[in-house]
Amino acid sequence: MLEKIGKSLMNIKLLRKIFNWGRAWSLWSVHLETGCCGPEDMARACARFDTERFGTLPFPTLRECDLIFVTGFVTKKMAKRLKLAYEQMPEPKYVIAIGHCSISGGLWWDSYSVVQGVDEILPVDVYVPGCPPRPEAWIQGIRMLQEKIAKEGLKK
Amino acid sequence: MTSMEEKVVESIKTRFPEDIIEAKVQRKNRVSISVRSDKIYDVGLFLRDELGFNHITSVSGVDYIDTKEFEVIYNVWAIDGKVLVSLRTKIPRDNPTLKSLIKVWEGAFYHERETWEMFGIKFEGHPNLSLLLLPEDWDGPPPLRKDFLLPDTPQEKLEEKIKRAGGQ
Repeated sequence: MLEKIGKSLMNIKLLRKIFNWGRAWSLWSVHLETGCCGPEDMARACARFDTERFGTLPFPTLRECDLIFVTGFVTKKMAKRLKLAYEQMPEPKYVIAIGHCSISGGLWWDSYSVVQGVDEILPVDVYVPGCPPRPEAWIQGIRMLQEKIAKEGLKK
Repeated sequence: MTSMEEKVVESIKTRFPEDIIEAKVQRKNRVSISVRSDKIYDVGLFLRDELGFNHITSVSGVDYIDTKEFEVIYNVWAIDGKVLVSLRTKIPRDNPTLKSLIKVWEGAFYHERETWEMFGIKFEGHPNLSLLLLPEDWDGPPPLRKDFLLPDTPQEKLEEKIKRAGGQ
């Protein structure tokens, strides 16, 4: 019953817009670092660059997060844990791949232990290249994701 | 006055005249000792008990594929003497077994386990030779051997990726 009401409410254009606006501006991110872009995660979250201005707050509880930053290379051993973390997050969830290594393997392009691009295991929404990307690039990535959410809207 | 490094070299040469292949002072605080593989346990005990080498810092392997040998290097630090000894030994590549030095230095546990998974060197007497850093379902050969090959070359993988993305 409630579900039906919710679905019919979502047909109203204005309500949908408000929903997407709220979703885009409260993208809490999982505090999970796989590689060496991790320190940059602290830089973008702390006072100087402060991505909480854009609603992105690193949060320790997976079940209340909407966004996962894949920071740097993902080893094959870590890939399973990353997938596990991703599966515990509630829908809707978004993935941003940070750095060359998580996009294509980067420096470890011929390694026996590194996943060649995190898009082999997770559906990536935004790619942010760099080694590591500057915090400004992270902010641009977050803004791109927000635009994407506003444009594409709710997942049905 | 003889320094600690020279004292180590001299005493190990007088104690094991037959089994030491080479012992020399590399530089300040650094000594290199090459030893026959069947005597490494005794040399380790001597280093620990008589000369005070009480802290194992690392165990590593080297693959000399041309001479068909593995070299295992135990780096041991003397906290009081402030000297690092590289205890080296060579073992044949087709039968890589070595007596474990866990009974001498307890801290060699993880280092030997890692050397086993990366080079396939079996340490006799090690209680738990299981995968440490590699994925749990790893079934390939030891990855740091020189003749290790990736299951698919990066070039093939890249081409497949580009094809999947719809590019040229």
